[in-house]
Amino acid sequence: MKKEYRAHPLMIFKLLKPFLFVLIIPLLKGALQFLIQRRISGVLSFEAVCFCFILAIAVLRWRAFRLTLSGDDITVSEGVFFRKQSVISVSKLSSVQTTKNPIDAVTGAVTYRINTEAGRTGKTDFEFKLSTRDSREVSSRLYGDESRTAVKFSLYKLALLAATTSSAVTGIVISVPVINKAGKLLGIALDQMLFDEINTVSEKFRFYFPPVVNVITLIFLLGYGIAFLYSFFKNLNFRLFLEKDKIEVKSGFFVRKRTSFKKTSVNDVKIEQTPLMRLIKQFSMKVSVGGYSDSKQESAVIIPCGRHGEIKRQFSLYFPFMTPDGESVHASRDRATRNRFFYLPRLYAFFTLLVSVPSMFIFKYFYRLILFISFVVMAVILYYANLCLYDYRFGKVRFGRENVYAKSSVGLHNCELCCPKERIGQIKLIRNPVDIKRGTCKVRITVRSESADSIRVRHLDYKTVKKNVYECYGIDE
Amino acid sequence: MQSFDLPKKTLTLWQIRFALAAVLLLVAAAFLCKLSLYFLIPLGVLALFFAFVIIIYFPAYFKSCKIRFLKGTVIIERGVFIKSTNIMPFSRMIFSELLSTPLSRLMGLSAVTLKSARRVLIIPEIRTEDAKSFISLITREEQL
Repeated sequence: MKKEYRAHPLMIFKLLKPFLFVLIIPLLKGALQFLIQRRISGVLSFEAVCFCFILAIAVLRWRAFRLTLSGDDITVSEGVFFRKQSVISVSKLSSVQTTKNPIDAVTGAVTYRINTEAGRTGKTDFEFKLSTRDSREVSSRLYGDESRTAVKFSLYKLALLAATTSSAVTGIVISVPVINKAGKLLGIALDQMLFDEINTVSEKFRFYFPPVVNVITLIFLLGYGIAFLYSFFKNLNFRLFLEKDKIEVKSGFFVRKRTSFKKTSVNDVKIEQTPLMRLIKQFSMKVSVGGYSDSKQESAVIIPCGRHGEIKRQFSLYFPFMTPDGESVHASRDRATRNRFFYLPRLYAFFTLLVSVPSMFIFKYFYRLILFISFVVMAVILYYANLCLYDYRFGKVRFGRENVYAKSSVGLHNCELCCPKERIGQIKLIRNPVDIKRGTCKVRITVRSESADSIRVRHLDYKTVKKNVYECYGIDE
Repeated sequence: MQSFDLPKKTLTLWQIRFALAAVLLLVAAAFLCKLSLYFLIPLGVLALFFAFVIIIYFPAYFKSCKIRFLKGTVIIERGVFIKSTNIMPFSRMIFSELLSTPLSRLMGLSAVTLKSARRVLIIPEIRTEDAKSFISLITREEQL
């Protein structure tokens, strides 16, 4: 049965958003200036004409928008002069997401996003505004009725997830544009005021650490705090709705998000442990869904935080078709192999000492700064050595009849990755001269998806791995 | 196997589009000639280039375009100096789009884009009815 849906009027404002800072805000400022000071700036009339023109285009585009559901197809029609009609098969959808901010809640609208594996990475394929009632109807027709059974997680677990996954860089990236724009709007040098405050506080610790270290540490701490708050409020009200073939994830406090996807759209499942999570022996489970909205990593959190046993139980419950099978292949348990894992940390530590010790004598004025940086670098190398030990003890790969499983470290995280074998994009067996001599290899598995999740397991027996890969994919040598 | 060539109107459409863009650019370049007569040289080169593209290149390009349907696959061959053959199985296609501009709508033409993961295949303007039935055919075959 064919049904057509029209966009919510709030979409007009969404279409005007690109012109917010270049036209609308200057126009509003000019209008306020006229009302208060009875003075018109030279370009106000020109800005007003441009605004009327852009508003007219936005209204026409809103009126031209259509979403049509018919049978197994979705048709999205948009555009006034340059018209575009996109036809998507429901079976090819990766996920749909609804987002409701406070303004949407008051006006009865939602931002509706449709995602597929096509399109640009990190950008949603189709985004528009629907009324709340229409969005429920569309989601129901695409994925069935809303699930009633919710799995909830405590605030403590959500706070742990926020604390262990936040990064200072994310906090800085989020806050700097906000501070700059706020400063420009208010006409005050907000960034300069903040920097002066940071300098004042860092001066109090100048006897313990070099001043530049204090400033950078403070900035990083502030960035981390902002990232934590952002992540915490983003994941507040986290609920998981599970059905036989569908998963829905709900989260958010100010901006409420609801994402639906079929289990068959899941490319891979990852059980991850960040450095902070390692301290408290907690893990998180994520799934990678093709074209997952505007998330850079295409990852959806399924379980924010939990013990390993609990996570494994829930993995078997939610994704029984991804249970790892096949022979486990890991690095051989001898001293020589173990030393190979520690080769790089030893090399990095050696070079750090080689550079830092003479530098402390040559640049005596920067002695404390060099000492501090050396300590930080050695701490990172020590952590890396710990990760290498984890790779030696627990790193493995399994090529089964249906699924592929790998366990290793990825960056600074520990990771277990499981996916159906047909979702694998590429398996690479890499051998350097030492590997050729010892009959070992490094295995790199890349999942077939836009973001190409990848994991590598080192120092495995080459012939065993090759045999298992060939058996898994039915390759005759 | 089905195959078809692009209609003659597609060539006319692209010649008109390019001619309009050429006129705008030449007018802007001619304006610069008021500053110095030396700008006549690049103006002349531009005019020759546009004339070459409109009169020689576009007819050869659109003549080289061949669209074929094998079972479950669309194959598009095109190119004048560098010939390319694009093959897209319907099963790899994620979604399709029908694109039209005011000028192409006047002439009853629409372009089709086929999107797979990370790749886009563009079919130049064909008759709008053909484009719609082409998309229905792909959608039906893909569901099979």
